[in-house]
Amino acid sequence: MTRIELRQIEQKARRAFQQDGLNILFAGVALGIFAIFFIDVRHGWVFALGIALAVSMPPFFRRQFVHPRIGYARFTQSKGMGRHVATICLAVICLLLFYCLGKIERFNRLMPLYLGTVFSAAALVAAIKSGLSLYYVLALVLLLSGLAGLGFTIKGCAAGWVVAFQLWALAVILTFVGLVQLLYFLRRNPRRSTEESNGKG
Amino acid sequence: MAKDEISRESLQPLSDIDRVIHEPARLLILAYLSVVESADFLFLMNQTALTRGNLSSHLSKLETAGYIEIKKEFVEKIPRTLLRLTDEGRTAFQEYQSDMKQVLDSLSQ
Repeated sequence: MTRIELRQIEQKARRAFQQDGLNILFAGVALGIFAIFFIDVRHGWVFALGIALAVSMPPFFRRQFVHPRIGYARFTQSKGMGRHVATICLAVICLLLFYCLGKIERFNRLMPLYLGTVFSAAALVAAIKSGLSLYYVLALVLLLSGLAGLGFTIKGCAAGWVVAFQLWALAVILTFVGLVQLLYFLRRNPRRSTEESNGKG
Repeated sequence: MAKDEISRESLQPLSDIDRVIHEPARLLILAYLSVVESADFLFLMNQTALTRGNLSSHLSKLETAGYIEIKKEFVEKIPRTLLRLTDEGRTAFQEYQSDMKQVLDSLSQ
């Protein structure tokens, strides 16, 4: 087997765990929670709550609902430090830009476009890694939300409220898409008995 | 005559091919195990589309050959059978890949 075919096998294996909709569902929930900050900047704690939910809930629900249906696999973690360093640098740059856009009043109106672009880029990376066309569609929707938000802020609407509504709209879309994907997944993959899962019976 | 000798030489790896791996189902099982750190029985069954009995039989042969390790553990009180490639299995799989590549390259010349 060539290296390319093994890469395709790995992609297929990883894709099995990306079609349950849980990542999309909880990303939607997180975005809905983030919106609170843009209405009242004193509630910075919502970022921690949203990220905690988006990171911890999918594995928890996967253990309960996904693994008993399609099995379990532990994938090899990338050992390269370069990739981790690049990710951290990118995250720092994004946070700095976010801070600057928020602090400098002249650039407040760009916040919806900035967030739409960042989320769209994240969705695009997920799409390229997973090969799932749904992520490409979501990347486009996220980018369009940024453009729509920019339109409202240019018209004179308060940037904070525009971003809040942008995030709530995205939360509704992502939560709905995630739920539909999850229900479809649960229907397609019936639960197996413990004996069956372990090669007995 | 020289051409025949060259062909026989380059096809020699084919006769030495590892017959444990050189079986479509077992090759597929090893391919999946080579791209993960570990996986359970149900995952392999879903990915390879083999039946339960068929998969069990192939896993036994691979375990006997020392290419995979089968470990039973409990995760939140639920038993789980985890499978992973041994170092010997990984080496054998890589050698199989290079042998087959050598054979296929010489056939295409």
